[in-house]
Amino acid sequence: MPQMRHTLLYLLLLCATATVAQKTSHTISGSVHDAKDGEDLYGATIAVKELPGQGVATNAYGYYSMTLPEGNYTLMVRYIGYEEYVLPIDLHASISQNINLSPVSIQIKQVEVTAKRKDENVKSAQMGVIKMEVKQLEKIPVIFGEKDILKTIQLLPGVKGAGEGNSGFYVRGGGVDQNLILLDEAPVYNASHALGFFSTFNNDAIKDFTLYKGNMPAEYGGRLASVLDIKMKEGNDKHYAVSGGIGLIASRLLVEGPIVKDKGSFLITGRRTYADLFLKLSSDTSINKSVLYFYDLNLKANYRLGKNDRLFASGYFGRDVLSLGTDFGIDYGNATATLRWNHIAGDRTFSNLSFIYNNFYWDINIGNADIKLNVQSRIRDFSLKEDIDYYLNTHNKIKLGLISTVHTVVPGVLTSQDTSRIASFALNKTYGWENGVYAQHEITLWDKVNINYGLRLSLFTMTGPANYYTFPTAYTSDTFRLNAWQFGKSYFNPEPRFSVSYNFAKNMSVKAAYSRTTQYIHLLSNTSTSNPTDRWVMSSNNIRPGISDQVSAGYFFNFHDNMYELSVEGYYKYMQNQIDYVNGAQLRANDLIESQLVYGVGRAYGGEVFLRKNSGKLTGWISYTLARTERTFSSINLGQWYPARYDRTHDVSIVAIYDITPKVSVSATWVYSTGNAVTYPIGKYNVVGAWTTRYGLRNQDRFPDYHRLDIGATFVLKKRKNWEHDLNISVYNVYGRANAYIINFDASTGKATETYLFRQIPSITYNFKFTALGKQKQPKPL
Amino acid sequence: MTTTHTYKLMGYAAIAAFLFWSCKKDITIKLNNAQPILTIEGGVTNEPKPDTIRLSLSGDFGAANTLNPVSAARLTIADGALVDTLTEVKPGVYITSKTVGVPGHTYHLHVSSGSYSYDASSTMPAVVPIDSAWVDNFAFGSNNTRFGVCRFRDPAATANYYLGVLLHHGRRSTRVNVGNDRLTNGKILSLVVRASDTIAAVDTVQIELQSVDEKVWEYFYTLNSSTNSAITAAPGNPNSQFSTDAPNGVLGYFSAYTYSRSKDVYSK
Repeated sequence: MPQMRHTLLYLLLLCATATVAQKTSHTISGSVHDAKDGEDLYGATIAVKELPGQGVATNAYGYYSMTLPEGNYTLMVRYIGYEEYVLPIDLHASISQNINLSPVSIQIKQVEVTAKRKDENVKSAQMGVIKMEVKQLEKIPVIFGEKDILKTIQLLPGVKGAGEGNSGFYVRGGGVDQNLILLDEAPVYNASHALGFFSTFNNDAIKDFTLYKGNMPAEYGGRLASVLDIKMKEGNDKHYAVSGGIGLIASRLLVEGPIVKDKGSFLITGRRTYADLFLKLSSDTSINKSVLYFYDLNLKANYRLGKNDRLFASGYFGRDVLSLGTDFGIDYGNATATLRWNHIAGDRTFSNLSFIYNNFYWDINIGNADIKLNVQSRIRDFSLKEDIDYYLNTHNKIKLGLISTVHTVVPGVLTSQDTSRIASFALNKTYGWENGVYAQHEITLWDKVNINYGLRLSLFTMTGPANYYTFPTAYTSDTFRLNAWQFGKSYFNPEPRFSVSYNFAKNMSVKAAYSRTTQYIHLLSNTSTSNPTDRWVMSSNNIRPGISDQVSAGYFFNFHDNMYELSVEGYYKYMQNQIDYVNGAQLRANDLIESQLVYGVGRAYGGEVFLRKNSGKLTGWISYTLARTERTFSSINLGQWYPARYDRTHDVSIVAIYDITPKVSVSATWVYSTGNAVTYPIGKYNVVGAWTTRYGLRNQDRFPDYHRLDIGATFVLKKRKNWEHDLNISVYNVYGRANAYIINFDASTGKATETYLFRQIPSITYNFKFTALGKQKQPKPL
Repeated sequence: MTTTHTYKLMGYAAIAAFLFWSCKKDITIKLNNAQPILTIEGGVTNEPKPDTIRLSLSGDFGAANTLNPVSAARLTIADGALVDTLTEVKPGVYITSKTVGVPGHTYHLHVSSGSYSYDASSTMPAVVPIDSAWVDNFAFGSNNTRFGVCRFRDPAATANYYLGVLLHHGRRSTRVNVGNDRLTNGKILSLVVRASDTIAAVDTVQIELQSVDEKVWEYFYTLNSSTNSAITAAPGNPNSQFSTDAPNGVLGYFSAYTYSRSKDVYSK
């Protein structure tokens, strides 16, 4: 690997030159928190008044470190939605300084806040990234009033929803399984409930999320299209608080508080739907014996062991239960757990060690007079991850890390109660070992150019104890066995990542980026709607890892005192080893599943415009995407390029929130998109006495255009320091557009029938929060 | 697994429909109809009576349901030893004169029509007799769907492929149900045999269990699974076993099969 050695050498050299350039310097470091509840603030900026253009941002744990030449400075600490904190410092020795920011109270005019907002989106080298706090989404109207980050991100440019009311999403031409969804670092394999209509993320438990649309930094890997990095709240470390909500579909309750005040806190939050309670009202036994619900439980605790060490434990448990009378039942769910140890070594190095577990399972029970059986499936990962942030100085930040994951896929174990009718059997369990190591360097040159470059090396190895298959011809298969820790086919991929911004004028920049990403685990689905029982498969001797290369360029402009931000981005992406299926593929209960797959390439390109108004009485955004996503497979459409199903030419979203008074606000969302690519009939013919649809080439037609308006209103009933409650009302699809969900063609009548899901759906949600208040205090500057 | 799979699908559909008050409406969509192509359908059985092959042309999707038979084609069925030239008895309907299917034999169909030729072959499996048959029902809310079930012992020595057809008031249902022994080799199998129309509360049906070869089974499996645009994300024509020099291909199947038929069974 001479290539890699060169890169590392270069990296070291760069650090060395930067170090030589220092005079006598000292470091100020610490972390930034919310003064009210002690939550870490990720992405808060610390600027130096005397040194314009110099500054750092806090990492995901709120930590910062800044090394400056000896002297007296004024630090300005800023974070959206918080009052600016000005801190004079006398830097003659390295100091440690934690900072608490106070949230802007509702009485203060919002305009003042904006003036202080930093133009981070313009300056940073990172592009194709959107970071949002859950608080910012609270007023956006959503279906059934269930606030849902996965639905909200579909309103952003370059992100397309998987269908009416669906929480699945496609990013810049990537498939649903090409999104890495992380909840406190743990990957979530099935991020939806109720067959896709709700996401697994209970907004109450979430602090913020960051979406990388392909140009992710080297610290992320394992998926081709995007990373959605979701962080749970830490829990209030100052006061005990209880909050919750009662909605149309579900109710929520959250309890948080200090374990030891200012040292540690916990958070427990749960959500459960209760649509099934209405089923009980039915007099029909087949209905009142049916069950239909889901629940989520989020748990988190953290504790500071001392000045330099902090432990975190977070967990998520969610489960869906559906059963139909006594004949059929399915339950499925995710569990994730993350144990983390933050350690500050010296005043410039921040380390995080994580142990991560995640498990997704489904379990089907069938019990009728004829057959009694149970089928179980599971995908489980154990990971160990270490990340080190090294703050060299205000111009240089280095991040290094590694992750090692063992994947276990249990495709299906069938247990039969009556083995004379159907035998019990188990599909082949498979194991994979995925490793990644990375280094990235963020550097600022001449105060105008920001570069973030890095290299990730990924290695995937199929391992045992498991049986695997080879397919010498299309109709034959051979088996080979790998024992525990005996390695089979391995794939090694260097993944360079690079992004640069040039701040050529005040509040204005151009950016460019290139990234390569790889993916070793794939979801197989050939149905038109998302299904929890869709099968995950890992790269193997037959399935090569997906590889994606993306280049992008953009223009970023903030104006009117950063009140508005505008970005225009273009991208081109080329994807190798994409997977499709032979016609009539049997994906279920099939050990030879790899013989049912075909491989091809994909390309996606497009432009995205995003105009956002961040403050004032009216806030919101307009997003427009012009895009094309195509694929080619030798066995499909005669090897010609054809549009992917989710290829949509135009996508428009408009989100507007208007604060009429501090207590009353209204909001509206309008979305429009070109219909999905579909395959329509090209004729009909008669077999077995019936008329049957004749099809031509795949995806040559279009669904009707999709558009919809949602409106909402939030009334703050009371807002005191210790007690607040509000009422949220919304209407989904106000003008009742019948958007096609499925179009079915009946060859016997020659007619097309459209199925649409929702006309107007009104909903109402009541939210409350009670805090047991004590005294608050801001630590004094040194 | 056929029963399992069907119940599962029904479960999903019912729950989805119940939870989300979906609605339907007829819409008009402009379609790009293609040039008609040939459809070939038929087979060989082990019964000592003439076997039939039908030829017709496909039509526009919205056209009237009138069959366009294809006449004056040359058809032969051969099993290696015997070559049988078929005669056209009605427009588009061709029958054999001497072929009687023998399990284990492979039959080759050759069709030449217009300037193109079409070829397919199919191997006849052994007969699998039905042990018992009955009408079952699936109730959810006010919907009660009745369907036939036939039970039989799967031969353990071979991979077996089944088609089930319901005969309702003596008429063959147009719905072809598929099953195989991929996960149930050598077991007693129950194949759910649905009708294309509704079976009434008091009704008489017969069930026909066909033993077919893998390619024919695959044709019907994909006919059921991939031509339904409401279920699959990428609908397509069923997998064809024909080879042809016709530029736009050919539709249909050729099946050498054996069958057993139940006595009359009554729904309740």
